[in-house]
Amino acid sequence: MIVTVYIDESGTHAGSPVMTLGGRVARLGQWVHFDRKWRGLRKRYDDLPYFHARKFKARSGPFQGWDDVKCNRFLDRAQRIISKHTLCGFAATLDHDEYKTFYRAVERPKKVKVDSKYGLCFRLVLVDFIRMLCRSLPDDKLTIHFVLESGDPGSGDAKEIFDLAKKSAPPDLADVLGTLTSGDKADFRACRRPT
Amino acid sequence: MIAFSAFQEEQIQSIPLIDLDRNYSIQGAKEVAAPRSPIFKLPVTPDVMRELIQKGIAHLEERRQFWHRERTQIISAAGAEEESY
Repeated sequence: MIVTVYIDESGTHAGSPVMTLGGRVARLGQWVHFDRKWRGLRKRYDDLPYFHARKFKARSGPFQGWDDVKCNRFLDRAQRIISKHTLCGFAATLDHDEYKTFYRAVERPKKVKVDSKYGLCFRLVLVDFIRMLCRSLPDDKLTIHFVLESGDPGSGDAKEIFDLAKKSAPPDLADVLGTLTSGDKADFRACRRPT
Repeated sequence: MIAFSAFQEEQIQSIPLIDLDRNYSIQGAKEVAAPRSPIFKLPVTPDVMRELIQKGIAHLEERRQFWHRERTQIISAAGAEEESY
């Protein structure tokens, strides 16, 4: 079974107290259906170019002029597509202040490398969430691919952590890891979804 | 900013949120098969951060001991070779 995880971050801008690394997981065939349905939904809403939660909430950008009824219907339809065509999702959250106090500022030998915020969230996803996924999708040939949005601050760390896990993680984890790809939202249409 | 309507809040809240079981119990695994595509919560808490740092320190110590053993073996092997001459 081939499973792809699409990941995006939020809350890295100044003033946000918490960073979130969110993702959705689906089988290869499910993403194909998801993509088709999502494209249909965007078309139904005047060829909506993308979905961006912050702009949606603020009714700005492509959502300018949308009234409550239109927003509610859109959200309802979007949620139905997500629920029907993905297996599950995750949200790794990290408090910026706690990261500074309990991670960055902690005394440790110089050689102990610390992760960026993005890297730390990704590490947790890789270790805890993916292990849970492996247990829930028992398949001898399970392969999990990851797609990150290129240019996300700290996403380079994720690549390093991923490569290291492939090389030296215990076999139950290393054996299921496929590839990690970075791409623009325009290249990976399934990225254009709310998480 | 226009406030999120009550309906939208309700919609968001209706997405099942599940605490990830870090012991990987089968109960957590079963939730994936649930029909509503739940979201698993993974809070990176101070305890998790401490645990990762401790693991990093332990790994470093393991490597240090490994290289110490390797070095000792090489030195003693070289010593034994020298003695045989």
